[in-house]
Amino acid sequence: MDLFEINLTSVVQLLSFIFLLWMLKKLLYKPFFSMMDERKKRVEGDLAEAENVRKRAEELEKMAQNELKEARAKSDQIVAIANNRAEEIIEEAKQKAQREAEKVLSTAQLEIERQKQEALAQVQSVATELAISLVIKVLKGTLDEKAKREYLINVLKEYEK
Amino acid sequence: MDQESTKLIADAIIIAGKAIGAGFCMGIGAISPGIGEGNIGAHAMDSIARQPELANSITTRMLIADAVAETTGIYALLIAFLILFAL
Amino acid sequence: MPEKKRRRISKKTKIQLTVFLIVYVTIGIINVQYLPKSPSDILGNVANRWIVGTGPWYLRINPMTIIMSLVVLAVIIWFAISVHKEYSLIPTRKQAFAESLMDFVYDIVQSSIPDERFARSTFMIATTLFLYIVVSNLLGGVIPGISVDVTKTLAENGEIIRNVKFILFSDTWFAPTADLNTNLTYALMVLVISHYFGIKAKGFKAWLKSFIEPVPFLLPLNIIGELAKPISHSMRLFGNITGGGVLVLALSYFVKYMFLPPVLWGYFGIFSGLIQAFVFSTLTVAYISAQVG
Repeated sequence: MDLFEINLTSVVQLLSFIFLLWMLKKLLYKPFFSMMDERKKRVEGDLAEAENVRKRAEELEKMAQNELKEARAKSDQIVAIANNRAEEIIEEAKQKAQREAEKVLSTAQLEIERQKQEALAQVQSVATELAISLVIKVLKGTLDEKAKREYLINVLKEYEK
Repeated sequence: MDQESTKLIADAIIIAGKAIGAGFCMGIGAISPGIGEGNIGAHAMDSIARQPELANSITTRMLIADAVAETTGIYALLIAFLILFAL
Repeated sequence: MPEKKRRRISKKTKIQLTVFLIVYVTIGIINVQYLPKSPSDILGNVANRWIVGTGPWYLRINPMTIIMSLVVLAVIIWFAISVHKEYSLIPTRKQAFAESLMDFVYDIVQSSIPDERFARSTFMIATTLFLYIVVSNLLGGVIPGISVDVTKTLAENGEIIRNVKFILFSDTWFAPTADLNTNLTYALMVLVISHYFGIKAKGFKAWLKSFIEPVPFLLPLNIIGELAKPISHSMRLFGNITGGGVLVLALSYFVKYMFLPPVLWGYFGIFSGLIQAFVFSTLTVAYISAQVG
């Protein structure tokens, strides 16, 4: 039963394992752990820094937003003023144009009236002459001069009426 | 039959029994780990085919599972040693 | 100059290789002449161990195990010192190897034991076990060395007399893990440590209660399950390494001790040795995390 024998060797092996553990702890694991801690600390520091940077960025963003809001309000105001002014100008221009147009219209009407009167008078005189000449032409043979005139005058009088 | 030849025959029977026993122990004991390791390998191949990007970790786990499945075969080996040398 | 850049065998390497081959063949011829000629001569004594002393267990000792474990310790500590001496932020090759190994084990430990208090001690135990078992398995499976041939004879008064014979280059070095003393000690140590950590983590009452978990009826089963852990834990490694050693010895005999096959045939040395060491330390972590978690 040599294969399955347990004897003092086991104690020696346990001691040698403890010795090896102690040696390796001193030689390998401590530097490894310290390096790991350092790495972790560095990572944590980086994280904190990143957090700070994030906070600062947030602040800046808020500030920028505020400024943007102010600028927008200002621009809105300016736009409103400009709109008002434009409306006023347009209104003014419209009124002016209307007035001008009315003036032009009235003068044109007067002119038209006048021309109409003139034309009417002209037509009247022309028509009278024409009628007279016509009548003269028609009545030449049948009436003497005196009767003709009287008749014409009567007609004209009647016409004039 | 004299004393000496009886002892000789007894020794021969013991040796024959040891050899037969160890052979059966190893032969039958090697069946189940073989089946188990085959199953593990087949499923590991399946999962690698499904997710080739996990091939490394699957191989590691497959080897551990193989070693654990091998245990019964190793027990058979130990028993065979026990039969052959320690009995 | 393209010729200089190409890798060529230098003169020094050529001489070294020639000397190595001559020595190799000479030792092989000597071995064939003088080493045992029949398989039963060498394989008949496989199960015998060199044990010094008689009487109860605390008076007997296996000198070969202790010598080889001292060699293993020397190798590991030499490695650790050479890493420690030039420890810097920019790692050398040795340091990078050690750090990647430790990172690998630490990842496994941290994923199964989140508690920082136990993770570090578990990591130290698992890494130390891993290093010890790896080096001893590689010694016992790959590198040819001295083997000890022990023949047992019974004396008149029933006492066992061992005749020890040292044989050069017939076998690989004897691995400390091929001795049940080593494996069972370490497995029991892991069991004790896991329960110690369990008491520390959960408190004594909760630890006692864990034995009568789901129902009190299962108490004997739980106790047997706990006791079976170190048995399977140690026997797995022991059987692998012992069986590998025996197979390497048989193969060495078949090729008449030209001792190249144990080197080339790395299954039981490199592959199985590494895997078993890894499994041993992984199971250590698993047992401890089962108690702590």
